[in-house]
Amino acid sequence: MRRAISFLRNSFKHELTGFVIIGVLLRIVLMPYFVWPYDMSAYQSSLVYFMNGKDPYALHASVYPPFTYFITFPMFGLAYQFGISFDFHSILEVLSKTGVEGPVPITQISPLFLVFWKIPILCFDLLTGILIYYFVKAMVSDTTMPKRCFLVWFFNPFTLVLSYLQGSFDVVVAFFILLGAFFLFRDDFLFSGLSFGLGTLAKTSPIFVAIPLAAVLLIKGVSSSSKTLNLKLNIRTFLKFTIGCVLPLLCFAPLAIEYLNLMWSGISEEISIAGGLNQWFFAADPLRSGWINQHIVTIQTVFKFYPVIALTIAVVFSGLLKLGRKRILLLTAFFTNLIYFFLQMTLQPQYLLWTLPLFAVLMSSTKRYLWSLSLYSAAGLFFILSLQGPQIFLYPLAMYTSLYPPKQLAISVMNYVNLPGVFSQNLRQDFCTIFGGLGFIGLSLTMVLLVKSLLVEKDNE
Amino acid sequence: MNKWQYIVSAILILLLLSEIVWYSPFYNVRKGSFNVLSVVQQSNEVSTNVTITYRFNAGLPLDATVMVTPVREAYQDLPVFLFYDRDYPVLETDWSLIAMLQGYLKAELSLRGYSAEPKLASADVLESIMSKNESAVVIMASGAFPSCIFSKEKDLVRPWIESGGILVWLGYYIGYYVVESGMQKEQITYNMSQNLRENGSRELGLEGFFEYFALDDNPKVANSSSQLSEALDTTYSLIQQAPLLRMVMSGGGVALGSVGGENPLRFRSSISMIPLGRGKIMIFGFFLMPSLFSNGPELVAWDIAQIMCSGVLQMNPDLVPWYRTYNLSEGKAITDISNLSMGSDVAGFVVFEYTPKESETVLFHREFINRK
Repeated sequence: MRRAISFLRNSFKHELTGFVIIGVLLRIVLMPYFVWPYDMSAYQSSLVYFMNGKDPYALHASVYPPFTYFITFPMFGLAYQFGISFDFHSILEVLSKTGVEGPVPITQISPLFLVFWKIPILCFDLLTGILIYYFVKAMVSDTTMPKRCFLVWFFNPFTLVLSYLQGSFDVVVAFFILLGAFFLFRDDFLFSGLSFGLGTLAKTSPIFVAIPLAAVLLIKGVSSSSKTLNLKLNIRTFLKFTIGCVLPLLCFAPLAIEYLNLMWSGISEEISIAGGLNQWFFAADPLRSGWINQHIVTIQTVFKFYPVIALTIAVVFSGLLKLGRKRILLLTAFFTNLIYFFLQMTLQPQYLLWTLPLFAVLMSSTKRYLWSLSLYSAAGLFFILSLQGPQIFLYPLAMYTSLYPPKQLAISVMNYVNLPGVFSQNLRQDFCTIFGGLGFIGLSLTMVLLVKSLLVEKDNE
Repeated sequence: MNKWQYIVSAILILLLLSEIVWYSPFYNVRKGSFNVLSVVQQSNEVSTNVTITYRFNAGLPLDATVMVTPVREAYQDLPVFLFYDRDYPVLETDWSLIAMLQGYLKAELSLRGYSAEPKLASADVLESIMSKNESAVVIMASGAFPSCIFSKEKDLVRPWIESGGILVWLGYYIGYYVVESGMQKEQITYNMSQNLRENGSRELGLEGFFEYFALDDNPKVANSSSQLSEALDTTYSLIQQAPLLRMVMSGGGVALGSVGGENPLRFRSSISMIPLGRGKIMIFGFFLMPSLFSNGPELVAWDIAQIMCSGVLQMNPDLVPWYRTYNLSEGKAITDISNLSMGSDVAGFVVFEYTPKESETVLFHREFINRK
């Protein structure tokens, strides 16, 4: 009891306390208010299947990872026991108007569902911020830097919009990738592997970061004392990391296997800007050549070679570089960014979140990563807002109040969608191309920066 | 262990506990059920009075509808095929949407206990099915017939339907466009020489069913529910290329979707079912839309599954199915009865229970009961 009181007293004295309270209150206010029409209904309906004990993957009802369901299941189960309802309704008069054009449905979801759905997101968001703080504290001696890095994450509008407007679970992935890097930094390979494994249950991407990292660990090993490296130690390190990675996947098979299968077989057969930040931003096809879609099969073939490409890069880096703690963090950031170039034809803007905490940590030693973080955040944020237009902020007013009739909202959304573009069919598409392009340039420059950092990083860490 | 190791361990333990409960047979949602308790039939020479007693048990909160449909013919699960052939072009849609439709349809039919799994079928497979007059449901959502089954020279479609096949059509006016293998989407125009244009629907026995206007001159969306769209909870709403409702009705068909249009004489239904010989044509008023919510693959799959499993394809269009909706709170049970009278031409009836898309419980039941 005394320890608990002492812990609480110390917590309130902590330099982050005020910011955490303000940040959490802000999030709690946003949670019931915002609904992102593309995702929330789909989340809700696939959760209904899961709550009914039905396999959401076999029923083709979900593209969301098993982690999401298992983490929310106990909470929703309890809520049902207390008779709380999470039903949703399509607003018919709006549905029929917007349904013709396809992209802008409006659905009424219980605000309670939004709160319950976003509670785990809040937990992982907060944990990520705290981890950034402690990670930076362990890396640099500047006493103000940990707080600054925490603030850059915790009050980043992109993370707020993604997590509390869109309700996206990508912050979970971001947390586990950062945690994996943190454990690597501390030479704790088993827990690093576990973090990447748990992250893989939340999205497939962490496994694609973990594979080249495992190769690096096997070939080169990582230790603060490089003189002690030898093959036996490397194999032991590799095994710890790999077992950690595989363990969560085994625990949650067969759902995890079904989910991974679904993801790996689910590459879109046509590039489209209709739902995401496209790294191949020229696929918005401003010249109307249709070149990308005509060569889609060839382009997809490149993606299949990602493991070979990533492992080749891992081998080259292992040969060129002496690996210390800082370099393994840079390598984690490098491989996380590399997957954006290979794994998705259409890159959803929320995926950029996976790498932001790593930049928040890296900026503590190299200020230029603040530029990467800002560029990613701006590109992702404006892309996501371009999709639906400024009307997205009026959705809750239309759904929960009589201040803005849904029919009027539908007309306003459709007016935005149909605004003529300057160099493509409509303005919305122009915006997506511009911000997709910004994201693509940001990714490319960041990769150059990461390679440069890897090459010049001092070995005597 | 440091605190971050505790956090990883705690997350893993929470997930494992959640998984154990989810797989546990004692998880209370599994108590949700629907059962037909008894069926009493009293027949005379002209009609049969039927009393069905059934019982609901709600695990989670339960919204449900019970529907009883008298059917004229034997009720069986026909094999289901979706036309999917990338050697042929699609009009105003995408093959990937059609592949998604198959995925969703597989799920929806399986939830309703439909015994046949929908399969993708190339033009060659369709040619084989239709030339042998095999009983099947064929879904064509690409907007054009491949020339190997329907063209100026060849018509395998109409004889196949008349022999008992069921064709589900989404797209432009049925029969208007004909496409060849190897053609590109960009090459398709309305005045291509191989198109049957207005003659296509005539060849299929649907003369006068359509108004051939420029696309934008057509009404787009149907806003009023029909009796069957309410009973079945169908949501497809597009009517740009839908047949005229009065023609559908006069041809012995029914409206299975919403109804709309400029005036009652020119009303159209977003989903129409038209009998042709021993078979049927089910026409959706336009294409699949690339939407998660409205008129997209998920909801079209729901609509098709509802129609196929409820018995309305086999019903007498003069008889209206009986249905009743329920809203039960968690853990409640209810016993209720359905009384209906049916004519001597009825072979039996289908008891179909479903939970609507918005329900927090997923519970389906389907049972065919022979008339004594």
